Amino acid sequence: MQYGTPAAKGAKKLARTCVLWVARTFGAQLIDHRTGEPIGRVLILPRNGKLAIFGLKKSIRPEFVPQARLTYAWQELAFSIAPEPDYPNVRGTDSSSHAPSP
Amino acid sequence: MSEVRTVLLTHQAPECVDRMLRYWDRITPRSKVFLAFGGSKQHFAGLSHPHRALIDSPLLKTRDHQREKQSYAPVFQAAWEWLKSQDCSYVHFIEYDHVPLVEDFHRRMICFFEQEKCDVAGFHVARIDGSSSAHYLHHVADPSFLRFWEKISVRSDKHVVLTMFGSGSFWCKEAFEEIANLREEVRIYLELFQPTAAHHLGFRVRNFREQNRYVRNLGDYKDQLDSLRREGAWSVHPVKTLWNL
Repeated sequence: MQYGTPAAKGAKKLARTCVLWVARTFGAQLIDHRTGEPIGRVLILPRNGKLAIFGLKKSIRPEFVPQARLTYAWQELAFSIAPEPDYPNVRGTDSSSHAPSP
Repeated sequence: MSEVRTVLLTHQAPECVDRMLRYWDRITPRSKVFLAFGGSKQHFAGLSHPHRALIDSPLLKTRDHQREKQSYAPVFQAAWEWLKSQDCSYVHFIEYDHVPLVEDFHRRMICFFEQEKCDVAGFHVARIDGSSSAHYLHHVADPSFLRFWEKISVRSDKHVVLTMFGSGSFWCKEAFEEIANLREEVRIYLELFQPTAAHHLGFRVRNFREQNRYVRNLGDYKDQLDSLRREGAWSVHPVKTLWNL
């Protein structure tokens, strides 16, 4: 693996710091759509057919929001903070019947 | 709390370890403490605590813990060699810089266990499969990661992945034994391995939740211990220099 020169590494680190500062200062404010808890500001940019998200400080899960009115024009992609696990102990039981709590 | 055994992980010089153990005397008797030592052989030889083991494994001694996927498997295995002869119900694993602030720390953890009916509890516990977690995304890029869980899991959903902060966790003895004896066929970062393995072996894993704010990865809480205790903190992390005084 090539690590590059110290100058290149320093420049890369500076660029990374700048991008994260811009993202977390001016980026879109994301909110957990289930709880209303702020997720933080992020920068979302198209990249290679995907969306690159810069600035996340929490682990989040994406989901498309249900729409009461049928529309083909637009859909909303929302995010929620990674939840706590709430699974029962299944040792010594039939594990197939256990589902997670919401 | 004779039901609890404490596994303390440290790498510091003998005088620092001695200070740390004297502090821990107010929490638990020294006979109930096992020292997992990740420092030098020279410092290990200078320790006087009877229940101890030198952990000289590259799995533990990583520099970039996350990218090298640091593992506490050698620590848990060494601790289990001592624990298997101990008559206890719980195992408290804790790093040297995770400092308890209340003398009834273990009683509070046991109460939490009884309320939650859980087998493993830790800080910043979350389900991260399908999430943006950098640790999860890095691990799942290797197909052998999920194949490992598919192989060992007793759960219906074999792709659940959990994360748990590595500095301190509380276990029922059975869960600790299972994790200590589980062979890591795939290199997995400890913060994912421990809670995910416990979950897939059928144990209930829970999050300390309100205490999370006092357990962080960066900083040094050394000058805030009294104020945090008054605020309700059971413990704080990190406190890197407390034993250096």
